[in-house]
Amino acid sequence: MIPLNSTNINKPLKEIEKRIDSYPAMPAMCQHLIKSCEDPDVNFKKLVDEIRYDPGITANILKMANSAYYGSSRRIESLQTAMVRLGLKQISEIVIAHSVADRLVKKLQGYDLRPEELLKHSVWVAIAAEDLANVLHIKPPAMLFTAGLLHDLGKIILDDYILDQREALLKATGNNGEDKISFDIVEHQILGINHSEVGAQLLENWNFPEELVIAVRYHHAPTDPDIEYDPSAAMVHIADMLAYSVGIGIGVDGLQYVSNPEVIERLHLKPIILEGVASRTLEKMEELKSLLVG
Amino acid sequence: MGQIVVGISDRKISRNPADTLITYSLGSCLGITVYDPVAQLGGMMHCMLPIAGADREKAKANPFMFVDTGMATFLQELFDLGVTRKNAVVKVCGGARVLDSKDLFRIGERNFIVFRKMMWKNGLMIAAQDVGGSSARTMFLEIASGIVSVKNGTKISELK
Ligand SMILES: [Fe+2]
Ligand SMILES: [Fe+2]
Repeated sequence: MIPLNSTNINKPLKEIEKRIDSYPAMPAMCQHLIKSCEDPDVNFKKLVDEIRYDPGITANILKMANSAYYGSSRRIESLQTAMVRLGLKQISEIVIAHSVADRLVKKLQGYDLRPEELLKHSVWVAIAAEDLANVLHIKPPAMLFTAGLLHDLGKIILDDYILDQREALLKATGNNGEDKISFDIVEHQILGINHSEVGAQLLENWNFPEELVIAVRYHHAPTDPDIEYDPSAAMVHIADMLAYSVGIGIGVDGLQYVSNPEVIERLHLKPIILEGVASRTLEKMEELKSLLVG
Repeated sequence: MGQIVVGISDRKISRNPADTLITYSLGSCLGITVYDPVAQLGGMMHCMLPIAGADREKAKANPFMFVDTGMATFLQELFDLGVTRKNAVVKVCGGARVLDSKDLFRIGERNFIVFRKMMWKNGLMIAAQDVGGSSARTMFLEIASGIVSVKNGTKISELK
């Protein structure tokens, strides 16, 4: 373990916290849609009218409803039909995905991620986590897709500090071999906070639901003693490890993340299951990604 | 200079001396280059998973996703273009893995085993390799010279 050096740590941590608090919130409609999904008495007609006021969101929903990705067969012209067809859960996923896409699309110099790489990684994890739940015959937690999509959001804020401390970070991960330390732990050691914690803090600031905050905060530590077993955190974790394995969104951190043995046992995972998830996810990821930025 | 990017589950072949073939983000995937100095052409493939067994449909649509169907298809394309077994220089990198005490994510290892089997089946030798570990790799092949280099983490070096 590297001792926390107060002169090194305090300054970036304070700055990072300031950046978290000043980072622009997601559009209010995201929050509103998440709430509506949880509300059994939601007034669908009223919601359609509210969305109609936002031409950008309306256009995006129509585009998705008419895409092959969402299995469209005949042309849908009205927002109402599109919303009935896709359902509230998918509508909220689509609106959040569109709102966050242009933040995830940028190049991250510190993490050494080319443009679109973090977006691809995020979309991959969202799709793979749901696919994993399906093949394991587990009912996907309601927010699983969105948790996958937002799990690495904190990297956007940390990127500048990763760049500053790159040498120290790489040194602290250790040499090749079994003694390597997980990159998220090293981030915490060197910067005083890691990308999971930053992401969770952002979502908390935006009043996103607790289950989303937990899945993001614990995606590298899904069996942390601070929480009860959390299926979202567990499945995002496995989907994430699979993304690193197959090289979707790997940068300066390489493949230096530790898989969680308890989750692997609990879900009875086998290589062949993961390979199936990977082969199905690759094409879907490309398709959805181009819908989001195309 | 033409930079030709080889995506995941894809391959590119070129005989243009101005071209450099590149594949990014190799984790447990394998980057495989074949260069023939006599036929003066080279190719690069980026395979994600070891065997098509579980997903025949996928393999038909995209053979390069898997090492077994990928190697069979890629080599046949190269032989059709005049590459010979005698002159083919085959290099490979990737096959890394996450830090995994349960040996669940050993896709890279399995990829490399299947790769070696396919090489042996085709009577080919591995000229150079940089596989394993836990860092991301980028692979380059210059068509003019046949030089292969690998960026492993932050360091670039020639693979020979
Ligand atoms: Fe992460
Ligand atoms: Fe991730």
